[in-house]
Amino acid sequence: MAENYIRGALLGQGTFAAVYKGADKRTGKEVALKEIFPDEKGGAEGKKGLDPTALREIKLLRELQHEHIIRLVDAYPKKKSVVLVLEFMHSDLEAVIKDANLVLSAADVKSYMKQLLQALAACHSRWVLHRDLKPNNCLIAPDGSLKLADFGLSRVYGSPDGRLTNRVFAPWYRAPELFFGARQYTAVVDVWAAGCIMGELLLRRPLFDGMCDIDVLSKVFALCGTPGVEGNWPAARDLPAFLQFTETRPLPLRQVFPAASSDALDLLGRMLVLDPLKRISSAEALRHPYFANNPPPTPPALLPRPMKREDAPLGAGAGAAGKGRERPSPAASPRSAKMPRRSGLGTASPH
Amino acid sequence: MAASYWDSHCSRNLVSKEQLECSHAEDRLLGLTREHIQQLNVYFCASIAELAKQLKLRQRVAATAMIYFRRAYLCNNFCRLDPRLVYVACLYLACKAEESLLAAKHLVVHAKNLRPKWTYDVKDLLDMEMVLLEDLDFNLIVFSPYRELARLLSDAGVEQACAQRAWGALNDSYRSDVNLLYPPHIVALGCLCLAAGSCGVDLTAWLQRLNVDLGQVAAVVAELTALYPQNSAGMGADECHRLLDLVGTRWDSSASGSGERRR
Repeated sequence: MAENYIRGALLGQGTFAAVYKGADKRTGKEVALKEIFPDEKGGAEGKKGLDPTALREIKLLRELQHEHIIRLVDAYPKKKSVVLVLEFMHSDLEAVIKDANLVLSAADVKSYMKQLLQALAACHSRWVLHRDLKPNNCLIAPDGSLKLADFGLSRVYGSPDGRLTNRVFAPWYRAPELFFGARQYTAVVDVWAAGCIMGELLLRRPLFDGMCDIDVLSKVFALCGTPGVEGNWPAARDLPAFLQFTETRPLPLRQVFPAASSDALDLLGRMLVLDPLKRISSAEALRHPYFANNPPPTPPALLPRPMKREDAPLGAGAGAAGKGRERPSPAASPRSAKMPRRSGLGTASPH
Repeated sequence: MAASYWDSHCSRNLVSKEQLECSHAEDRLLGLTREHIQQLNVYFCASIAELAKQLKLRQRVAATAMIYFRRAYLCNNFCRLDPRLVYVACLYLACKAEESLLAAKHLVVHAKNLRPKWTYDVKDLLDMEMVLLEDLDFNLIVFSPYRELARLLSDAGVEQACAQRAWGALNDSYRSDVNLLYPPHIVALGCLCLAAGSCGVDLTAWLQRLNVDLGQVAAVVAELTALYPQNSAGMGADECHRLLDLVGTRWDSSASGSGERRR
């Protein structure tokens, strides 16, 4: 109920929602209030009612309850839209990666990856694809643990009906089969993005930070080799938007990540496999020896903390719960590229 | 279907017989009998099915909409919330939840086609969507017995004719309360037993191998059987309008002040 919450400062604003800091009047607990904008596109009246993106997010968050998935505390209608009451989060993984004052040890990276993969495995075991995995959707809770957020693009998969839209994920984290126009894909698209995040945690910069789709793909192939080389994902040719790149051979990961342990690189290599059929699943990844080997993952409470959101200077650094600010590049911003609108982009929503 | 049945639908969305008995208290005060209410429910679920068919929507979307409709009236009354609008809003919301997006305008046109007396517009529909979301407490994922039935049919290995009947029984089951009362696998099993009974197939040995509460299955079969004779004389549209207008006026004139009528 709306009366139960006080709305505080604006934390971040995106195309589809604004996130405010809030408090629960009954308990005084901090919350984040995510106000989905009413649909303005359909004319003054709003012809579509509640945005399907918001509806997906509510529908799925209502179901997914997991220690590494953001908790939907409550929801209530407001004017022509809906407000989601979410757990309040102090920061996000992007802020951690970018904060030059923080040192991430091998154990810290392992801890983040373990929590992230646990959240993904929980989604996948319930037939939910996240489809918008990137560091600033991995929020950091006050207790230091990682929580997966922003389910606006996620959906249920595995139904015999319907193809899915391939216009999902921010380009830097988009799996190669999606670039090539695959409309039937599985949970390993999320695993690809998790692999990109692991690479980013190790390098402290995005792994495939291309300026445009083609540029991202060329960076992917520069690391993983082009499809077809050495029997690597020959089926790619059959995808509708397949593009032939100048043939390159895969680069040994060791060359890019000289400091990483070999078990870490083995797991990374299995997550960043071009062929979706050969890519490791989130559940398998969790069973990889990397997580059992030394050093053990850092307990969340001991992970390095970036500046708290409220301490951060306005407009810079650690911002964004969910739909906060977007990364400066790539030009095709994740938000504009992603939205499966009914008409328009042509890929529209899967029926 | 999504998520884990046991920690969502099962714990939040099944109701007891007693809860069901208590619903529509105000309607009953204003003169509707339990039979009336039952028939109105059947009428509107049939309307959802018809509208869905006209729009070429999948059966699952219609099934979800019917469940929304029934759940919405667990805490509401016909006299306060007009089911003639609610059923269309249920279908609209179900389309979104089941990823079969549909323009509200389009739906309104078809609703008018189906029932020429339908007096609402897009704005009413969208307002009702919000009301509905709140009354459903944002629980939008519905577990339907269709997948369960497919699995049971292949496991029991019954003939085509019997399987056809079971599917039919399942579609009919939405006119009863079983989908509110029992989990999907029990409903699916009930439909299969009903079909087997009418086709003379003996499933006793197979049933005994299953680890389910056969008492519940029997209850489903009984509810479904009860559906058939009574339903042959379903309620006509005119009778339905008459009853709804009646409780609507009675509610307005009673002006009890205990709550405003929402459309």
